[in-house]
Amino acid sequence: MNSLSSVSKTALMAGLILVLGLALAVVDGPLSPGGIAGLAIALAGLCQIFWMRKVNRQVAKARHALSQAADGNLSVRVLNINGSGSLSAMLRSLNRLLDQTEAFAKEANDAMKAGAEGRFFRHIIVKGLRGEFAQYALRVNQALDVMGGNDAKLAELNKRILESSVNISVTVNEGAMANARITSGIRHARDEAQGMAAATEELVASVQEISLRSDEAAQLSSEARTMTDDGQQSMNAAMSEFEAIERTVNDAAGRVEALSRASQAIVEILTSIEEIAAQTNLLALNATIEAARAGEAGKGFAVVANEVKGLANQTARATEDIGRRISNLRTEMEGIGASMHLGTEAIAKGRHAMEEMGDRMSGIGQLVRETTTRMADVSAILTQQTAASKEISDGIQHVASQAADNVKAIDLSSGALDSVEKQVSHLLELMSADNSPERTLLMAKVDHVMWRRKLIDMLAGRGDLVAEGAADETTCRLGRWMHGPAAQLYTDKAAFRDMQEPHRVVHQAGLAAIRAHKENRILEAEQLFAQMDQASVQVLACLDRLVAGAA
Amino acid sequence: MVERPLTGVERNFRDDELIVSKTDLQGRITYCNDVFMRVAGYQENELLGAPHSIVRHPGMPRCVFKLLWDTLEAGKEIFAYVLNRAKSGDHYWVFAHVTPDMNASGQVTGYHSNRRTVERHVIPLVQGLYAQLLAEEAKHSDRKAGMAAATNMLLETLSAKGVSYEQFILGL
Repeated sequence: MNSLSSVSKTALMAGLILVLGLALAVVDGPLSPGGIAGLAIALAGLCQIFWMRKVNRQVAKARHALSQAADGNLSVRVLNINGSGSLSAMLRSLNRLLDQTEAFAKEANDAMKAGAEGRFFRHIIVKGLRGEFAQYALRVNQALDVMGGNDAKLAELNKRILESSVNISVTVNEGAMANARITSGIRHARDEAQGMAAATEELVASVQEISLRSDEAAQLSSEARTMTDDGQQSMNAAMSEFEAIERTVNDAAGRVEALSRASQAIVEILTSIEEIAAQTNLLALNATIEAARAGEAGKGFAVVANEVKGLANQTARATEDIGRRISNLRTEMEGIGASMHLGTEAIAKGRHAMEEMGDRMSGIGQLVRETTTRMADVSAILTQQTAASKEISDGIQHVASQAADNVKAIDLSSGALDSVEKQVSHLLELMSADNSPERTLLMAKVDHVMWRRKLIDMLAGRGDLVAEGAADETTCRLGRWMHGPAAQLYTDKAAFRDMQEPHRVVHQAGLAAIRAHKENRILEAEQLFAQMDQASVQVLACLDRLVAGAA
Repeated sequence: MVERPLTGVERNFRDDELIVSKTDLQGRITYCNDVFMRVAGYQENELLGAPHSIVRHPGMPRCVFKLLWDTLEAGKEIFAYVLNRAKSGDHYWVFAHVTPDMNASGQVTGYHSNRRTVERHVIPLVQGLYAQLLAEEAKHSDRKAGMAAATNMLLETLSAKGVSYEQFILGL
């Protein structure tokens, strides 16, 4: 009996009543009072059996639904519930229970699923849930809120880390760019310093040469001064000699004149001697004549007169000879006088010339002295200049070597920045795995700073770039985003529109700069880079505006 | 069955009640709870086997149902504010949550919908949006083209707000 359900037991009881009723009817006869009672009992039993069968069907449905539900199939329901009896009510309650249970289970399931996907705003909809279902739903929603809060915090933290990483990347790249520019500047400075050092060395050599020559000139000038001084002294000595000669000549002229005067006196004396001789001759003649008259007596006297006459003649001849000689002598003396006069004049002229020359020599001497002094000054200055030039040259060489050291130091620093940058890039790649617009924008910032950086490195000679295959404004990360569906939310923003043209310039000018650099058109490459740089600043500003708008 | 004309009368149910129904994959009703029957004014035997569109109201844009079925076919849950018509021609607003029913092996066997009451302040917002979508649908003689245009309009409206459909609906 234990294995029979209560419904089966009831049906069994109804069957027994039916059998009992029928038995009574058979025993008492169908029309006897007992028989009628027996039939009534049997009918009642029959009705009960029909009712029991209906109940049994309902119960079976309930049992099926409950058994399914017990197995975790919450979709099951009891259909076609008729009537308003307590069994129907029970079945409706069963459906309501399943409705509540399934609603709760589905809500909880979907809310959790949404939570797992980060959509924590998708709560369990508590409305419509009752009693403990509603309570549990509220509890789950609280948990979702906490998780959502944590997730938001995590997302915020993540975002900050991403932003910091982007900033680090941007800063590192800016640093690297600054380094590249400094390196480039220092390289130029070093090259120029080296050029200057060479030029200064040449200058020093030239100055030394000039100094040497100047010393020689000073030496020569000094010698010239000595010689000029000597010359002047000789001149002065010559002047003295000239003066002595003049005096002597003048003295001689005076003596010649005195001699001439003495000769004149002799001529006068000779004239009187000639007159005496002529008278003596005349007297002798007279005496002869007288002697002749005196005859013999006179003969001795005549001889003496003759002798006297001869003497007078001899005297006249001698006087004449002396006169002639004196005359000759005077002519000679006049010649000497004239010569002496000429000599004196010549001497005077010579002396005058000597005096002029002396004056000039003195002037020259003065000039030579001044020149010598100046040459000495120049020489001293040049010596100082040589020292100064040497110092400059040393200084410049020091600068050049220091610049080389600086380049090395900056290269080291650039290397360090490169490695930091690589690590940050790696971090950024990891963090930017999800493609939310904000992250795309932040990464686009990094991309564009990197692009600038590569160009600067190229221009500074630290790297090489090829234009072919490099991203343009449509294929870079930002370009793909801008032309993709994800940008739809931003297309009507001013910053988005403002970004288009500078972004195009960033790529086109950049690519042109690479080509110019390849073809060694360095100045053009620099200009294109400057253009790119300016546009890049605008793009970064627009990105910042978009990120600020997206946050 | 001849539809009765709309009465303009709104029907209500309690905040702690759920209108529950289930359909097979073709959208034919396989279960409706007592709240459904009471509010819609149908007997269980009238509903079982009937298409769920039996309660469709002409004030509902078709594109909303298209979105609903597209989402369900993708195996995802969907929320929607739905205006339904009762048998009598009355109407009632529900906040519907529709999910696929799956068997133990993860196969979709049908769809399940829980409907809740709608906050009063939401109704004018939804009505405004639905009126625009209906107007867009009405512009096109081709029903499909109209529906596509209205769907686009809905997506663009959401895109302008910068929210997903789900965020928008749950945020009302």
